[in-house]
Amino acid sequence: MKMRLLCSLVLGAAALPGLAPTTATAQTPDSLRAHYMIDLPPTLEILSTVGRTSPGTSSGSPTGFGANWGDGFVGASYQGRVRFSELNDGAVVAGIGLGNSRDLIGGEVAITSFSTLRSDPFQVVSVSLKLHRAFLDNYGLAVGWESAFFLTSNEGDGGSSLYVAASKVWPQVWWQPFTKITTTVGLGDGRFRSEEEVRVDKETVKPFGSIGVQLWEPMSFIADWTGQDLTLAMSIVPTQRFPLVITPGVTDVTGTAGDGARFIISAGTGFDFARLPRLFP
Amino acid sequence: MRTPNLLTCGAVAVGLALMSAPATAQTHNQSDVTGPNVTSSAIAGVGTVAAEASPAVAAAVATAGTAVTAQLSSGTLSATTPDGATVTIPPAVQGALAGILAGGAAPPEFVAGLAAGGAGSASELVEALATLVSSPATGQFAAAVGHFNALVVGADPAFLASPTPEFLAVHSVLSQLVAAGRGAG
Repeated sequence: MKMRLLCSLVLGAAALPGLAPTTATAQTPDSLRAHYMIDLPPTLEILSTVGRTSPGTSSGSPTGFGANWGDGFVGASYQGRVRFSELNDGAVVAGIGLGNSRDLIGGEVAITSFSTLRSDPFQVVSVSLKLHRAFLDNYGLAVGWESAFFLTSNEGDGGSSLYVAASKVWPQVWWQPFTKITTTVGLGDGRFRSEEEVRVDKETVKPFGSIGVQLWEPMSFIADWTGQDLTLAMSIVPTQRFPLVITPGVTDVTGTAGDGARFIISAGTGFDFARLPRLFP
Repeated sequence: MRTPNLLTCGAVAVGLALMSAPATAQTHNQSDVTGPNVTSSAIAGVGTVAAEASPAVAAAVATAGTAVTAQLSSGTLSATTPDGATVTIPPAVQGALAGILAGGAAPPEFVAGLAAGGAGSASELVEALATLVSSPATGQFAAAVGHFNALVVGADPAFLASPTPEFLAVHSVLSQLVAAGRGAG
């Protein structure tokens, strides 16, 4: 009886705050790590496309982020004139996201019609693919295949391009008007080569990259090196009531490609396609 | 009355003809790929939003931050070891962590306490903890958790079996904030 009482006292004392030993002799290294690892719930995860629309962070080059399951998007682009011509041009795109880049890997499938303004629509249609993964600290990594295959016999004049892109969102606090900066660097073939390399059909891989500085919540400034020339653009979200992103800009500004600066603009909107059936019961 | 109509019809016809005519100048000049990128969701800004929790989650985390600050200020923060024991954290460590979370400088001994396990992410963790409660930046919370987990992964097993009070204090604080966010989500 005395022995039982003594044991109880010892155990009770060990349970008092500050008196318990911090060693866990019965634990394995894996169980110790499992205890201390902190699982971040999805509501606090690194990246989310839910709820808010953010202005774009690039214009002509891809990024390391992408659409996940549930994300749908449509968009259109316009060039005031194309290179070595006074003729304008346009394209439209629609796509969906697959998988989840935060849990494992995200996928993106986009269908683009490059024929719009000056010829019948859907005369030049391609499918583009992208796999992407989001990492802690707002990093994103993607591999993509632009115009992986064409659904039409006419393949236009853009060809296919393989690329890998890495992006990071840098939350910054040192200058209040800027809310965050997104940088992207990548390597690609196809359209990411120089204009001369494309002309002589030289097989090579060239770097591209972009910087998107979000000035205020609805607006960002973009400097985008597409591999051929520099594009300067603004991306604007006119209202948070509708997820519309408009990105006007000037491309070929340094004169390393084409025949002078040109006006370009794009507009796109994202939506949750999983909710669409509820709109059309 | 007829002339304007004819002119209008003519203009429309010419316009349509131009619109439908093949753009001969738009071959071999990469016109399909020299404008905005039209092959990905970037055109719609999809996937470029850094984590911003819902208002309810953000409020819950902020409330937990206030509670944690109060615990640190009063020296009542406690931690739980893997074997279920509850330990109190020395007041000096709690004070140091409270200062860091409020934006103050990290005492070298605090950083040393985190780095004692051998993992190299202690300084990054302390950096991510700065102003975490008082004025967190977008993505900072996730960064702090990420660096702490990196610390755990890289730590020596002996350290995890007998961690320093600094380590336990940070774990306790982050765990409380995460639990609050999870509960509200």
